[in-house]
Order: sequence, then C-alpha cells, then structure tokens
Amino acid sequence: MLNHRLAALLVFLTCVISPLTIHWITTPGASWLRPYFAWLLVIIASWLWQRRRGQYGR
Amino acid sequence: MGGDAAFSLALFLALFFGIAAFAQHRRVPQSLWTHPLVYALSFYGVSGVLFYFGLVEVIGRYGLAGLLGLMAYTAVFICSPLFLEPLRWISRAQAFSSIPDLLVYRFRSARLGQIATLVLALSSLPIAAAQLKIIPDTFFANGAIDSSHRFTLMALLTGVVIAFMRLFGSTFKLHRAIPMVMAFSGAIALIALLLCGLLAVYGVFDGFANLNSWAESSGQTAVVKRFDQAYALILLFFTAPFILPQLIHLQTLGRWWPRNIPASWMPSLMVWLAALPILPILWAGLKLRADVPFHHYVSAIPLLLDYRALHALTLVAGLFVSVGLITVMSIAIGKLFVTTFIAPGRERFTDVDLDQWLDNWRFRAGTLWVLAALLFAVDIPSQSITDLTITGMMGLAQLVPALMGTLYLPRINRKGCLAGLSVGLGLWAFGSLLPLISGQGEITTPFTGPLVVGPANWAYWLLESLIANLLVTLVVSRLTSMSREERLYAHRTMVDSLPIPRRSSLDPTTIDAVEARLADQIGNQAAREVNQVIADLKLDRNDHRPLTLRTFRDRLNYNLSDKLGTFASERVINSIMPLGDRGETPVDDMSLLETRLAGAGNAMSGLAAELNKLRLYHRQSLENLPIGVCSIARDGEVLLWNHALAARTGISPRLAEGAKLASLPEPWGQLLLSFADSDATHWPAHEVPHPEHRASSPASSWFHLNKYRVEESSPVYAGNQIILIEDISERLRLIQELAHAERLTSVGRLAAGVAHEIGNPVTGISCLAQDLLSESTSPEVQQTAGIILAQTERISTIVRTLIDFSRSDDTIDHGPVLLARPADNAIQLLRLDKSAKPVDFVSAIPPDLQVHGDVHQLTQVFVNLLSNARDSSPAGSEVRIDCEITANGTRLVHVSDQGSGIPEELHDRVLDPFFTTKEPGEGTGLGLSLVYSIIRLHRGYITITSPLADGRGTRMTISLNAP
Repeated sequence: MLNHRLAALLVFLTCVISPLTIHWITTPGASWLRPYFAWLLVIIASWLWQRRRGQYGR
Repeated sequence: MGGDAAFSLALFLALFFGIAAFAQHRRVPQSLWTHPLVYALSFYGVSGVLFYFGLVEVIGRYGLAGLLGLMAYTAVFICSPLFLEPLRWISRAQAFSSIPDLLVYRFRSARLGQIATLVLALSSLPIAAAQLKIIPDTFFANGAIDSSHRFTLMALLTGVVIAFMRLFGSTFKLHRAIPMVMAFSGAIALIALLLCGLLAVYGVFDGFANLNSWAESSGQTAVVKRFDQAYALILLFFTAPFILPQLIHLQTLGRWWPRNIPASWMPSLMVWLAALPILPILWAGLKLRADVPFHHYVSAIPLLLDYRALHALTLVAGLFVSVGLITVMSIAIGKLFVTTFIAPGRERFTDVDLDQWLDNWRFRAGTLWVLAALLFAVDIPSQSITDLTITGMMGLAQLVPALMGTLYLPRINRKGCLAGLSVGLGLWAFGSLLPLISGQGEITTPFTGPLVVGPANWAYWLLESLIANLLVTLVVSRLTSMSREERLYAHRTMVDSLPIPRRSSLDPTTIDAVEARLADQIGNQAAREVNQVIADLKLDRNDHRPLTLRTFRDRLNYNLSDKLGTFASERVINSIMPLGDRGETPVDDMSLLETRLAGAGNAMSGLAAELNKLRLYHRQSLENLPIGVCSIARDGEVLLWNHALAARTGISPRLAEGAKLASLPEPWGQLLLSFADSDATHWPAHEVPHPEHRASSPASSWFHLNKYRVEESSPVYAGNQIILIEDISERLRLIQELAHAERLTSVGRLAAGVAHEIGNPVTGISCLAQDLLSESTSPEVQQTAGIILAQTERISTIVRTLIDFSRSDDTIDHGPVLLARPADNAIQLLRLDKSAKPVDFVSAIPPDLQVHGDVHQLTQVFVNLLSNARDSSPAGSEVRIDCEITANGTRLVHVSDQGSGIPEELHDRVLDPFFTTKEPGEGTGLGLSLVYSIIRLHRGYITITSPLADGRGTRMTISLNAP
C-alpha cells in the first residue's frame, strides 16, 4: 500500500530542500563536515518520525 | 605470510566459525538476534568491501557525490513506508521471498524467474570477485604475501565460504547464524574504520584544527565538493537494496525480519558512521603519501604509523566483510537456483526428505556459483573494487524496470520485460562487463561520436542501458497483448493495491485430508509442513470451517513458496487444494479482507485511513448492537456473527464466522438456513427450543427474524443476506403477565358482582332452610333442609372466596413481618381440619427472618400453598417450607411436596383463575390465583418447579423483599 501523503512530501522535500542543502554544503570555505550534519539530520528526523509513528500507530 | 596477516587470518577463522556455531546452538537469545541493532549491523556487514575498504576510493574518486550515493543506499530504509513496507506487504500477501519469485508470480512465467536468477548470478560475479581480490591485494600491498600466493589466498577464502555453507547450510540454522555473524562483521568493520579515522585525525594531523587547515591549504576541501557523477551514483545505490541478492536474502530470513520496521533509521546510521572517518583517512593517506591505491588506505595507515594491533583489526574486519558477503550471496543465489530451476523441474518430492534435498541442492548450486566467482576473480585484470562492484550493480539494476513494472505499471507484460531486459543486459555487457575482462576501449557511433567503453564511462552506460531497457519494456508491452491471468496478477502486485482474496469452495474439506494429499506430493515432509502451519496460525486440526481451510491454504502456500519457489509451490497447492470455481461468479473473501485491512492500518493515510476508520466504526457498531446480527454469503457461509447473537445462541463469533450455516449447532444452524432459504423477509415471534433445557429455565425462547438480501446492483455481493435476530422472550413474558393481570382484574370485578348478587338470595335460602329444619318434624324434610343448608354453606364459602379474591388488591398493611409467623399460623389452621389427608408440615424458616409484607395476606398465601401441597401429596408424606436469602437480600420461600407433580404444559395455566385439576366440588380454582395476586402486591413473583426428582414433587417458590 503506497502512502501517497508521504510520497508527495518526499518529492516536495527533494525538489526544494536538496538544492538548498547542496548549495549550503558547497559554499566556499564551508566545513567538510556539513554534508555529514545534513545526513545526520535526516537520520534524526527519521528516528523522530518513526518514534511518533510507533507511538500513535500511524 | 607476515605476522599480522597470519594472525588476522587465524583470528578471523576462529571468530567466523565460532560465532556461527554459538548462534546455531541457540546460545543467543531470541531478543538479541532479532534486535533491530543486530539487523542494522548485519545490513552493514553484508554490504561488502566497497563499504569498508572501498569507501575511501568512492569518495576519493567521486567526492561528495559518493557521499550522496551512500545516503541513497540507505534511503530505502529511511523511507521504508514507501518502499520496504509495500514490498513486505506484497510478500506477505502473495507469498514470495525473492525478486525472481516475485517476477514469476507477477508475470506468470517460470522462464522469466529463471532469467532473473541468471541475471542475478551473472551480475553478482564482479561483486564477489571484488571481495575475493581485495584481501590478497591488501596482504600483498602490506607485504604480507608475495604475488604468487594471491590465488592460494583467494582459493582459501572460497574454501571458507564452502565450508561455512556445508557446516551451517540448513536454512533453519542460518536464521540465527547469519544475522549474528554478519552483525559481528558490521560491528568490527565500524570499529576498525572509526579507530582508523581517529588515528588519522590525531596520529597524522594532531587534531581537527590541523586537519582542517591542511585540507584547506592543500585544496582538498574544494576537491571533494564535486557532484559530477551524483545522479548516476544516487540511481545505482538507491536501487541496490532492492536487488542485491545478499540484502534481499537477509531481509527475507524468516520471511522478513520480524522487528526491523521500528528501527529502519538504524542502517542509515551505520553507513553514516562508516562514512564519517573516510575523509580524514583519505587526507591522512594523501599527506603520508601512501604508495597504495585508495582502497588500501584503511589498512595501510595503521601499518605506516606502526599501530600493529589496529592494522590486524582492519584486516580481520576486511576478512569478515568480504567473506561474509560472498557467503550470504552464495547461499542466496543457491536458493534462487533451487526455487527457479531445480524445484520447478521436479513433479513430486515423495522419494526424498524435502528439507535435506533442498539443502543439498542449495549447497551444490551455491558452491558452483562461488567457484565461478573464483574463476572470474582470477581472470579479471581490474584491481579496483569500485569498478567491479559498480559493474555488478549495473547488471543487477537491469531488473529494476521489471520491478518497477511489477509495483507501479500494470500494463507491463512478460514480453515487454523480456525484451527490455535483453536490451539492457546487452548494453551493460557491451559497455561495462566485457571491457572489465578485455580492457577499456573506444567506439564511434553516428549519434554519439567517440565513446569510451569500460568502467571509466560507467555512468553513461548505466543510464543508456536503463533508459533503453525501460523504453523497450514499455513499447513492447504496449504493442503486445497480455493474458487475462497476467492482467489479474498485475493488479495484485501493484504497490497501492490491496489484493482481495477470492472465496472459493475448497476440496478437500479437512486438514487431515489435506495432509494426506500433501504426502502424495512431498512425502514425509507433509506432516511437518501441516504441523508448522497449524502452529503458525494456532489452528485446531478439527476446525473444518471453510475460512480455516482457506487460511490454511494461504499459509501453506506461503511456507512452501519459501522453500520451493512460487512456481513449484503453486503447483503443489493447486493439486492438493484446488480452488473450485463451479461456474460461479468469484466473490471476495470478506473475512480475509478484514484481516488484511486490519494488518494494513499503518500503511494507510489520508482518505484511505479515514475510510478505514469509518469501516472500523461501522464494524464495531454492528458487533456491539444489542440485537443479534449475522451476515451470510450467498453460499451459506457466515461472514459476521455479532456479540449479541453469540450471547443469545452460545456460539462464539470465532466458531461461527467462516463456517457454513448448516454446520452450526442446532437449533440455530437449521433455523437460520431455513430462514435464509425462504422467500419471507420476516418471521415474527418464532419459537426456538433451548437445546439444553433444564427444569429451572424456560423450555424455549422467542425471536423475531428479519433479513435483507443484497440486490443485483452490487454484483460482487449480490445474494448475500443480513439477518437480524431479536430476542422477544422477555417482551412476551411481560405481555403475558399483563394479560394475566388484566384477566385477574376483570375476574375480580366479576367476582365482586357475582358475590353480591348471589350472596343475598343464598342468605335467604339459608334462612328458610334453617327455619324448615327447626320447624319441621318430618325426617325427610329435615334431611332435605340439611342438604340445602350444606349446599348453601358451600355456596357461601365460594362467595367468600370470591370476595376475598376481589379484594386482594385492596390497600394492605405492609411492614416488617417475621416470616415464620404466617407460616406457623397457616400450619396450625390446616392441622385443625381433621378430615383432611394427614401429612407432616415442616417449616425450616428461621424464627428471626423478616420480610416486608402483610401478615394476614401472607397467612392466606401459606394456607393456599400448603393446602394445595397437602391435597396432592400422599398420606404420611412431608410438606416442607424452606427459605433462602439471595445476594441482594430477596427472600425465596420454597414450599415443596412429594406429590404427583404438575405437568410442564400446565405450568402457565395453574395461576389462572378457576383453573383446577381437582374433582368438581373439591376446589374453586382460585387458590393459586389469589396467591399470585397477593405476591404481586408484595412486589414479588412466583415460580413453579415440577417435577423435582424421579418425576415427582412440586416446588412453589415465592420471592419476598427484605424489610
């Protein structure tokens, strides 16, 4: 069963957030750790979302 | 062999087999080996050397685009509700455990499954070759072995894989051994990488500040910020978890990892941790000017800095990761060959022990494949594990269009898939695989100009092959037709579909009969399989409901398909439990549909979730209605049996739902079947006898039956019926009581009038008769006058009783009464009548027991009850008065005799006025009516129990309230 709401959100985030994130990462002089921070944020968001999902059964 | 290398190899062998043996002998608790962290670590562990040694090469070669590729590799887990959960859902519903099985099921083609297996086996060869080559190369680069021993070491590692498969080859043992070994592999690889990263930061750069300044000054921070191959890397790594055989195998161990859903962020965290130290390691290697390729930096840096223990650890981790991946891949591919080639080619399995036979063939196929991988590794000149792994993954990616078609595109057909796959594989082989063996080259085409053929141009060939594959698949599918069966299964595997099982009649109709038929197909294994299904579903072997058999069939197919593959499993199941069409329109299986919807609750959102909530609300409303409701399919199978009906009938929903109406216990089965078959939509006040009638309970209950038949406007459900069963027994009892009370009232009024009208003339007759008696001297006249007087006395007695009866509802003096007093008074009065039958009255009423009532009225009650008891008792018998107090304080007074009893059919009539079984002249028929009236005025009730025992005796019970 496809979760259409989540799919739409994913497409939106990919289209809007990804270019901004890549721009933020590739800014001259930016720390090389920035992509790791961005990735870690995705993991934390996923953890929080799944925790909430487990809690509310959705 | 050098000291570190020999020590690492020995330690690896000891740990690799030791952990597997430890896990196999069930010394690892279930909670550990099914823990999400074990899953995440084992996921990382089977990802292979590209994610260990090769990470430095990937990021060194592709910069941050490589990091994006690694993120994409775990995106499928991060977004598991979008990708993994639908796959898991379809896997559960349609019983498949590998991509070839899914394709066989979807496209109804065993050949497509075989081709997919060949693609997987062929494409996995470069990946396995990368694992086999990296260890000897590392040992050689570190000076542990010379060039001539490379093949020996590769052969040794191949032997380790084969030995592992032989020792732990049983599927059941592997359920525990593989996750634990792979989790250890992932853990030790992560530890080695992180320690190596710390060594790079503090051992080479003296801290982060120096690392950053070196990276800036050398221009490395700018060098890594490039994304030129990002799209191809993201595409390739994103699809990998769907198609890499070892990952699919790991996920489907025990039919999808039981507890991985709550922790699907963990695999991403593992890869993140692995990627974190890679840039410091890369830069440390560059600063140290390590004279080895990028993929040797992880082991070379500790060696250059003389950290021997860490160097040994990196080698052990490398051995674990490389041998672990080949082992799981060999087992997975061995199983694929069995399910797509070996098992479908055999008609029956009666002459073999199925599990043993399957294990042997898996071992043979896996061994052959790993030997092929060894030969491939020896022949191939490329030393880059990135090139080898990417080439393999490109070949595997050719299955993605077919997989997309399966999940998203119902119009894609078998011919389109085969054509697309052929074109895609051809381009991949031409552009990537063959140049890997024969060396890189260049071609010129009219459309593209000069083109590099080989790993250096892999991104181009990946996109070209995938686009060509997809386009050809679409075009050929559009131009060719697909069969009705293929179209049906195409919709069943759509990612947003809820496959609705069909409810068909099954043959045979018992689990024992299924087992007997299954034994004809798979021999001795049949009993084990049947018992496994019974245990899985917690079934009762003697439960013969059609729903149970359908559930049993689905589960058996599910279990067998994991062993035999979709094709062979469906063949076995269809031969032992064929679905009977019988020319009927197929109907949806509502019960299984409900079960699947219940399991899909989490997967729904938005409109679907709201509709599901509405469905649950309506379902619960029906189940909790105070009126009995059952839903009947047109073939007589019960689809719904609500709680109220269960309470009325004593048949639980679990027993009723899924059963045929005719098989329900009597009287309900036949009653509902008759009603369902009748043309009537309403059966008013239908009497239903109690199947286990006891003397203390009513013999029957009364029900209104109504039904609604689903009309033809809903063709799938047309013919189904909803039957409402309303228990009206209590209502009928109240109506009867009301009628009785009205009858008594009218009789009372009549009695008062009659008493008045008859009393006066009788008094006159009596006076005249007395005069005649006193004045006449003639004996005949005196005798006649005496008879007249006796008869008028009798009339007067009747008249007085009538008057008493008519006044029984007058206001009475209610208050606390010692219950023993009216009882004793009545006994005394009755003992005065010497002409009556001698019986022994015994009162067991406690002397201090009080009730709320009127002592005179209660005396009248006892007189009537005791005199009736005496009249019906044999001479010398005992008439007892007993009393009990209920939990709510009500006093129940029992007057029991040992007489001939009251026939059951007269129980309802004995309280009616003028009803008597005595001879004419011996009773008025008003005694019990009077008792009834008085007790009702005391807000009590009267019940009759007769016969008591041995067909004799009567017990009249009256209830009285406490004061």
